[in-house]
Amino acid sequence: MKSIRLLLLGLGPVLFASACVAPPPNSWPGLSANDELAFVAYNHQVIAVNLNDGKQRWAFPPSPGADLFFAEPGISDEIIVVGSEGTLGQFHGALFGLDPANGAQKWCLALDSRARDRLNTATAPCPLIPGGDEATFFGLIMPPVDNRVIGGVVVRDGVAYAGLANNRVIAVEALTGKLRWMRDLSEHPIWTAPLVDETSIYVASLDHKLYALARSDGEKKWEVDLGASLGGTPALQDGVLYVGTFGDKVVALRAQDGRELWRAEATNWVWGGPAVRDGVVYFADLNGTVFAVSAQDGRELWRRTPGGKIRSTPALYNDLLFIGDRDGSLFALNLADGALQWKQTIPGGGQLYTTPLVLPERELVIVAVYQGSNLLVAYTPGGAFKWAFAPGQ
Amino acid sequence: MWDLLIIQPLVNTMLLLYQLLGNNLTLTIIALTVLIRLITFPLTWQSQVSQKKMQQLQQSDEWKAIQRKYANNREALAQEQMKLWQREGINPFGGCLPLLIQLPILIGLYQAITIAIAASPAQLLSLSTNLYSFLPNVERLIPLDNRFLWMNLGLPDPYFVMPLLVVVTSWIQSKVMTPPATDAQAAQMSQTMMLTTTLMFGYFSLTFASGLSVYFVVSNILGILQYGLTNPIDWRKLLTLDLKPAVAAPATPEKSKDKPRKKK
Repeated sequence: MKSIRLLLLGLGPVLFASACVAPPPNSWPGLSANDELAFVAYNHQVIAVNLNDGKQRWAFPPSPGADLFFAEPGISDEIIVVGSEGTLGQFHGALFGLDPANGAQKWCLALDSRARDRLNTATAPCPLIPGGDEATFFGLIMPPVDNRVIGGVVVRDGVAYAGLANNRVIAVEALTGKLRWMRDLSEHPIWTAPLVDETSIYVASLDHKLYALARSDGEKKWEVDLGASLGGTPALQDGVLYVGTFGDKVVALRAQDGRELWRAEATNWVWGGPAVRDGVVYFADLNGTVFAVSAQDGRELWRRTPGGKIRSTPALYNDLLFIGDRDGSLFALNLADGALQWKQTIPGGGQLYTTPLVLPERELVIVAVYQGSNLLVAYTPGGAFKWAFAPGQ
Repeated sequence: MWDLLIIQPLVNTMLLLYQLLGNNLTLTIIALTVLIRLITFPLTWQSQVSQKKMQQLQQSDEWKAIQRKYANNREALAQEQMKLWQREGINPFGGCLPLLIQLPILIGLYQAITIAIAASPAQLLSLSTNLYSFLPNVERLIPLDNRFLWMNLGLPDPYFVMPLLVVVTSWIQSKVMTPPATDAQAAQMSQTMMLTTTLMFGYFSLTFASGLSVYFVVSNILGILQYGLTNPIDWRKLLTLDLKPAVAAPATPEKSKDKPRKKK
C-alpha cells in the first residue's frame, strides 16, 4: 500500500519528465539553395547538401552543438547567413555568416550578452550586437528577452535582413556582420522572413500587423492591422502585397501605402504565404485546401483539398503547383484547375511544413522533412524520385 | 484520443477563460487550475479520506498487535490486514486509485498550458489543431499575451522568483501530504522522494516557461488547502525544517511474547 503511494508520488515527476525532456523539435527545417548546394537548418546544425547526389558537403557546426537552427538561411554568392534560436528553452540567439563552399564561420553576431558569453571565443569572436540586451548585476540577471531568429534571413544586395522573436527587425552587412540598423516594431514576435524589394522591406508579425520599413534605415513607412496573426512571408507583384492571416483570409494591399484592396476567404488559418503568377494568387490553409483566386479582386477560381493539413507556401513551376502536407505527401497540382498531377509520399515518414524548393535549372523539387528519417528528399518536377538525404549519411 | 479527450477541452476552456478574464494569461492559468482542482475534488477528497482512515487504523492497538504477532509471517500478516480492512470498510487502494485517475488530467493541464503559451512554431501548430471551430473570435486572441509583471510567461523567470516559489510550495506540499512512515526504510525512501520531487519541479521551473511555474505554484497551494480540509496540518513541523522523516509506529516484534506461542 505504502509502496504504491510512494510510487505514485514519484510517478508524477517521471511523467512530467517524459513530457518535457524529449519534446519534438521547436520548428520545421529552414531550407534554401544556391546553384550547387541546398542549405537546411534543422535542430542543432545547418547542413549543406550537394544538389547532384544528395550527399552532405559540410555541416555547421561540424558536430551538433547546443544552438538550435530552424530559420531559413539567407544566401548570396559569397556568404550564407543563418540565424540561431539559442539553446533549448533559453532564447539567446545569434546570427552567423558562413562560407557557402565549406561552412567556415566568417563572422558571428550575438543578439544579447548571454549569446555572446556562450559563443564568443578567441578563435571565433562573437561580439554583442550594438544596442543588444545585456545581463545586469554582475551578469547574473538577464531580462526576459526572446532573441530567437525563427522566420528566416533574407540577403539582398549585400545586406542580411531578419525579423526576431523579440519584435525587432535588423539589417546587417552580409559579408562582415556589421549592424546597419535595428528597429523595434511591436509587442509580439516576428516569426516570418521579411520580404525585400528595391526600397522597402515588408514584415508580417504575430501582432496582427503588416509593416513596411525603409530598406535604407528601417524607418517605418506604414503599418496595417489585419485582425489576426501573420505567420507567412507576404508575396509582392505589380505593386500589390498578398498576405495570409490566422483569421482564415488572404488580404491584398497596396504596397505603397498599405491600403487594403480585397480579402479572400479560406477555411482555416493561412499560415504559409501566397504565391502569385499571371494574375492569380495561390495559397493553402490548415484544413489542407489549396485555393486559386484572382489577383485583381480575390474572386475564387478553384479550390482543391489534395490531402492533409497544409502549413507551407505553394511553390510554382511551369504549369504546376507543389505543396506538401502534414501527412508527409508532396502534391503537384495543375495551375489551371488544381487537378492533381501526381502525389509522392515521402520515404521515411515525417511531415512537410517547409515550403518546397523548386530549382528550375536543375529540374528539382526539394522538400525538407520535419520529424522524418530523411531530412531532404528530391524529386523531378515530373514526380520521379532523385535522392534522399538523412543526417549522418 | 488523448488530444480529443484531454487536451482539446482543456485548451479551449483556457482560451474561453482568457477571453472572459480580459486577456490575462496568468489569471487564466490560475482559474483553470482552480477549475480542474474543483472538478477533481471528489476524487481527491475520497483519496484523502481513505488515506486518513488507513492512518488511523495503522495507529490502532489492534493493527500494532497484528504487526507484532505476525512480524515473521508475511502471508499471515497480509491475511489479517485484509480482514481488518474489510471489517473497517477500507479499500487498500482507495487512496491511490483516485490519484491515478487524476494524473492524466493534471498532465493534460500541464500540456494544455504549454500548447496555449505556444512559445515555438511547433507548439503554435499544435494549438491550431486543437482549437474548436465554434470558439468565437479565437483568431483575435492569438498569440496570447505572455507578459505578467516582470515575466514573459513563455520564458523562464529571469529573477528566479517563480522557481523559488515552486520549490517552497512543492516542499510544503510534499511535507504535508506524505504520510508518516511505519518503518525507517520507508521513511528514508519517502524523504528521498520528497527531496527529488521538490528539486525536480525547481529544475523544471528554472528551465521552462514561467507560465508553467504559475501553474505549479497554484496547484501546490490548492493541494495543501485541499489536504487541510481533511487533515489537520501541523505547520510547526514545516517551520522546524526537520529533515529527518517521521516514523509513525515501530513494527518490531515483541519476541518474548511471540516465540513461546510459536512453540505451542
